[in-house]
Formats: sequence, C-alpha cells, structure tokens
Amino acid sequence: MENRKISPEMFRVVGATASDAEKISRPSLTFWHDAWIRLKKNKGAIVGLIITIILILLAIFAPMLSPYKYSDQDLRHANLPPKVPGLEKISWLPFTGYSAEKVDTRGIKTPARDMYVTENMRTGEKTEYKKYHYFGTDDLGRDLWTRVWTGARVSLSIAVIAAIIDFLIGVTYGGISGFFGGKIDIILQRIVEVIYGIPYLIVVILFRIAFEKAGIVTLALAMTVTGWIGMSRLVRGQILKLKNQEFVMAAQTLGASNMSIIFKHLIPNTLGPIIISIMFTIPAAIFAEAFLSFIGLGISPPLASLGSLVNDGIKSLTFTPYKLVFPATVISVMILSFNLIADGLRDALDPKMRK
Amino acid sequence: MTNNEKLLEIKNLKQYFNKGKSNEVRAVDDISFDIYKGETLGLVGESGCGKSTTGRTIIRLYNATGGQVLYKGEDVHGKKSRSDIKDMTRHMQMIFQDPYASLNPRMTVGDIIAEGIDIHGLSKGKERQERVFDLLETVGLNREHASRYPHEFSGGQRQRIGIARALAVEPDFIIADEPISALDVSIQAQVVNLLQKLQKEKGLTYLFIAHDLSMVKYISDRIGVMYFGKLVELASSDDLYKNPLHPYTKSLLSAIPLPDPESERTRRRVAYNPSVHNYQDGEELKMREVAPNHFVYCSEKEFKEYQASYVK
Repeated sequence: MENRKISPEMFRVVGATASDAEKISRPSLTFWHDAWIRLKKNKGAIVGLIITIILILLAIFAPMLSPYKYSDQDLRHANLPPKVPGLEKISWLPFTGYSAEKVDTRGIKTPARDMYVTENMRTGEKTEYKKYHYFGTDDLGRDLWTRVWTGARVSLSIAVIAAIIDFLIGVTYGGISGFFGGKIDIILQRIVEVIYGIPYLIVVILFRIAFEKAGIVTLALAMTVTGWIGMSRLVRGQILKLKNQEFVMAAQTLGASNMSIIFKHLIPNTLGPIIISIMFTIPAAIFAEAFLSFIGLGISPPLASLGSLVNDGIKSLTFTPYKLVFPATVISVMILSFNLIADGLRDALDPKMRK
Repeated sequence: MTNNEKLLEIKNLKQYFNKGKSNEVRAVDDISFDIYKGETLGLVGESGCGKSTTGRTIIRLYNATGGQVLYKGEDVHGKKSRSDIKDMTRHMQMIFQDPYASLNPRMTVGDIIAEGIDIHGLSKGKERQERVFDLLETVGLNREHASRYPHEFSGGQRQRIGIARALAVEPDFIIADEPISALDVSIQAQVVNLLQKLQKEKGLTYLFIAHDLSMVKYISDRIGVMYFGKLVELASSDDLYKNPLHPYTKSLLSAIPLPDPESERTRRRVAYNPSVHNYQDGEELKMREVAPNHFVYCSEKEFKEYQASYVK
C-alpha cells in the first residue's frame, strides 16, 4: 500500500466558519413579546380579555349613547320590565315588556300584561308608551340600562384608582424597604404590621363619616388605606431576592448609582409579579366596592354603582327580579373575566409557576 | 515573574459578618498578600472558605471589617466621594460565577455590555455602538448578538458577554470569581483561553478564584490556598505543586484525579485534620517565608520543620 502523508493543504473549509457556530437562528423575542405569545395560547385569558374590553366599552359608551340620564326620574313609568327592540316579539325572552304571570297565596292568577300600555280606568282608553328600556326601569322610573353601565363605570373607576394607588404606594414603600434593608427595613415593616392590624371595615366606616358624601375618590382611598400592604410585601420580597443577584453586583462594580440600579435592574425584573398583582387587585376592588355599596357604605345616590343597584334590586326581588339580575350578572361577569385575564397573565409572565 | 511592580496590596484584610453577635462569621480573617502587575494569582480552597468574599471585599462590594486594600498605593476602602469610587471601578472589574444570574434578563446584550460605558460616559451614539460591536468580537461573538436577550445564549456565550461587560471600562485588574465552575468542561477551556488571550493583548492582571486545582495550575503564575478565612500557603504555582508544605495544601493536592489508571491506583487521598498542628498557647501564627516567595501560615516551630523538608 502506498504510504500517504496528510498535509494541511489537502483540507479546505467547506462552510461553517467559527463565527457561524455562534449564530442564533431563532428570531429575537423580547420578554413581553414572548409573554404575549404565551397569553394568546390561553383560551380562557383571551375570552376574559374580550369580555373585559366589551364591558369597558359598554361602561364608557352606553351611558353616553343612551337617551336617558342615570338620574332622570319619570314616576309615571316606574317599575317597567325590560323591553328591547327586535327581541320584544320573542315571547319566551324576558325582553317583551310584559309583566310575569303571578299566582298569589290564595291561588288567584294575575295574567301577564304589557306594562308599556297603560289603560285609563274611566274611559278604557289605552295609551302606549313608545320608548324602550333595555333593562327596565327602577321604582323611580330611572332607566336601568343607563344606570347599570354608569354603575359599571363607577365600579371600574374605583377599582382602577384603587389599583393605581396600591401600585404607587406599594412599589415605593416595598422597594425602599427591600433595597435599603437593615434598620430602615425593620422600622418600615413594623409600621406595616400596625397598619395591617387595623380592621378594614372600620377604616371604611371612618372614611364614610369623615366624608359625608362618598364619591369615587373617597371610596378608592378608603380601600387603599390598607390595600397597598400586599403590594409592598410582594415588591419587598422580589427586591430582596434580586438585590443579591450577580447582575446587580456587576452594576455596582461598574459604579452604577442606587437610583439606576433600582430603575434599570430591579423594577423591570419585578414588573411581571407587579402586573399580575394589579390584575388580581382590580376584581377584588370591584368586589369590595360592590360589597360596601350593598351594605350601604358605598356610593351615595343618585350616582349608582353595581353594588348599590343590587342593593336596590334585592328589595323587590319577587316582583321585579330584573332589577337584581342585570347588575348582579354584570358584576359576576366582570370579576370572572378579570380573574381569567390575571390567571392567564400569571402563566404568561411567570412560566416557571405553571405546573 | 518578570515584573515586580505591585499593583494591589492587601493588608490584614478582614471581613466579618454579624460582627459582635453570637452568629459571627469570620469569612475573611486577617489575610495579606500582594498582586503584581500582569500576573495571574489563583486563589483556591474548599467551598465556604472565603475565596469569593475576599474577591468581593477587594472590589468593595462588601465593606471591609478591617485592613486595607491598596491599588497602586491608594486605599480602595474607607470614606470616598462618589467620583472617587467611580474612578476606582474603571480600574477594577469582576467576572462572576453564575452566567445565568450575572446578566439582567430584561436588557439586551448590547445594553448590558454598554452599561459601564454609559455610567462613565465613555462614548455615545454611533461610537458607543461601534465599541459594543468591537467588544463582542473581542470575546468571539457576532455583531448581531447586540440586540438579543441573555436567555437566548448558552452558558459559555453568557460568560463571554460578562467578560465583554468587564472589559468595556478598560480595567487593569480583573477579579474572576469562579468564572468557569458553572460551565461545561469543553467550554471551560474556551473561556480560560479567552482570558489568557486578553491578558496577553491588554496586559491585564487577574485574581482567579476557583476550586478546580488543575485549571488553576494551568492559568496561574502564583497560587494562594485558603482555609477557613485564612491564607495558609502562597507560592508560585510550580513551587506549590512541587513543594506543598502546609498539611491542608497537601490534602488538597492529593485530591486531584489524574487521567492515568496507573497513578490513580496508587493515589491516596490525605484528609486534613487541623489538630496535627498541635499549636500551643502563646505561639505566634503568621505567614512566614519558608523559601524565596513561598509563604506558609505556621508557627515558629513548624517554620523550622518546613524549611528542613523543603526540596530544592
């Protein structure tokens, strides 16, 4: 056999140079883009998102487009059942403007009748009320459709304001407590524990007494007096976890100031849990507001919130159930859809938590 | 060693945690050594013996409990204005152990590398961009990587990004805090070779903290052995391997596996038992120079024994 010598000249590069080895073929995705892709895959979250958007749009535009004002009273047309154009002919739907057939304790039947037609007792002349009330009217003749969406607007505003105040106070407080640590942390945490010990209802009642008429802002403030504590603890924990990470040390060795470490390194990394927490705060605040309004500590009439509408509706549940059903449904759907979004966001922003 | 110019002097450095409490930890307990310009000083020891703490205290990540760190004769610690501290950070940099924790996951690689440039206002706009590309290429990465996020990179690539970040401010002295222990063996060589290449090109001085003894011998000019917060032996790397004097060093060296079945069969691990010293009260323990440039932490009595046993 021929003895062949192998020399470098016999080889040549056919491709794949050293620098090609470092190439990344996957397209570059930011953290938020990646989270959005994960969120899109979650059907529940998308349904929640769509419903929430619809509810928010209704809360903004329905009172504006309605011919009635939420405070317009018309005692001649009080307690009218719902009537919707187009649906009024479908007899099995509760949008016909007819009252329900009733049977009293003695077994005497009162047949269903069109409540939008009034009969003059003396002449027998019938006059038809030509307008429509989609959700009916209340005992003062106020249009419930307008009132429900005004109420939704009020409830959402309170919830969003409460969430924003929670966010601002909680992030600042927790951030300072966690970042500076030591004595500052000890003092701040003892203050938190004291505030946490104050019963929330007492604070709300005190607020109600201090501000005779409860408006959107007073209610939101009452809710945040103790509400920001959860957020501050969350942020403190996150900051404590992050501040000893090596990338923070690297920034310190590069000579970064405390401010730039907080805003460039710590806050962006806690944003995920903060957003999740805010998204869970909103439905909780809606619920709390509804509860407060329901027990009479909430918004003052004639302004309505979903809770105060439910409170009004429950008084005549057997005769005019629609007064309760509509606001109660809106509350439930709103809270459910917010929770669905928050749940989806938690999975999307923190994939490690998912089982 | 060709150069005898001292770049860094560490004098009686102490770092105690929870000082004065019952759970006081003496992570670094009165250690002194010098680092010469252009050399690589390896620092080895078991987990928790204070190697990393030493590194972090030198660079002022922790405030020293006592002692001095002199950089070109100037104290790194003590009261300093912000601009002085900032100035010092340009000379000293650090490479971290965990390539997954040492890069901010919310920043692009370009911004991570440019962080030092931005803080010190070294360059702006297009110039800054060019500098980032330069640094990426220096550590063997591509320009396109600047706009990507850390999670898209492998451990070795991330470690090189960390090196590029440290190089951005053009330091003279780099503390490498176990830069390779979190990496795959094949990638370790890549990173170590890169560090050596950079040292040659830029005349860098390294403090190389590690627990992989064979890697430390490969990269270091001198090696310091730490045990429970104390420096027990300091010598040039060949000398240390040839003439380990302190029993702890002997024990450490006996634990190195060799890729040779013959020698592996006969290799016996020696366990270190601190009671072998049998120190009496009143005996002064300190670093003594047993042979030229070979220091051992010992008593007067041991000093004589070590000198006798030293193989020329």
